[in-house]
Amino acid sequence: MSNVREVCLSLSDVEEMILGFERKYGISSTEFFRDEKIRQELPEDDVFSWDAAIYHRLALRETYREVHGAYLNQLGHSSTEARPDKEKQEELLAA
Amino acid sequence: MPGPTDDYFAFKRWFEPAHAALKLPPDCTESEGGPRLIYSNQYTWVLEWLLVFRNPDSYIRIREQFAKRSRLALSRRIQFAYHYGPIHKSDEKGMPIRQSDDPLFVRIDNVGLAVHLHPENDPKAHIPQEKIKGLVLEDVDTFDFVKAAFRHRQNGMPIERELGYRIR
Repeated sequence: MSNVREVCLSLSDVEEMILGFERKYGISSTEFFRDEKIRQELPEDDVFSWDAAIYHRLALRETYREVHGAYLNQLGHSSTEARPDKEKQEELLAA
Repeated sequence: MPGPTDDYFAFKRWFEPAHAALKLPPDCTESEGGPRLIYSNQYTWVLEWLLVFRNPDSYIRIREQFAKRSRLALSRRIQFAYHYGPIHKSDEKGMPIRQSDDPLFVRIDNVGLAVHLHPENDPKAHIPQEKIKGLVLEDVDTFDFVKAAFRHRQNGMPIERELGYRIR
């Protein structure tokens, strides 16, 4: 039996990690991500963790966009489907 | 190869039974209760696994990060670091802390640079693939690395021999 543990990250977990690295090294994540020289000067373990946190943030933002987009889409459909019933009810009430 | 990297679930299905089948030496313990799979969505995850040995104190630390490159349908391994070396310093929880010039037995990683190897006699050196014979660094599997370290500890043979490489 494997004792593998799963940890599911939230956006706030990831934001906290990223902020921790930005404070520790006094640079933004954009500078870290783009500047090869800076990356090479930092400890490899921190480069790994910071990079991973940035990828997690991208993934979570993308997931949020997809879920939010699907929600808005569904909302649009349900409101057009619901309108006739609502209108019918209003007509009945008016009558 | 680092197992199936298509997505988190495929990787987990491969990793869990392989991990369960691994027989740890009696002097070896897994820190934090075992490997951790840290994920944020189906395509983005990290494996962290720390194995600690006693007398003499040493450790193996496995870290792999998987994600989708933009526009690709499946994930791939983005970064990895396989480290095996003596423990020099630990934090308050007993976790090994590593400085880049600490002695080690071997480290293979692609963090900050193309895949390279840190050899036992010069931990700060980054030996690129072109100078390594007999081993494709990118293809080293987590379990191959861990088992090679177990053998090195058990029989005292050089780690180069256990992993099957030579530096040109």
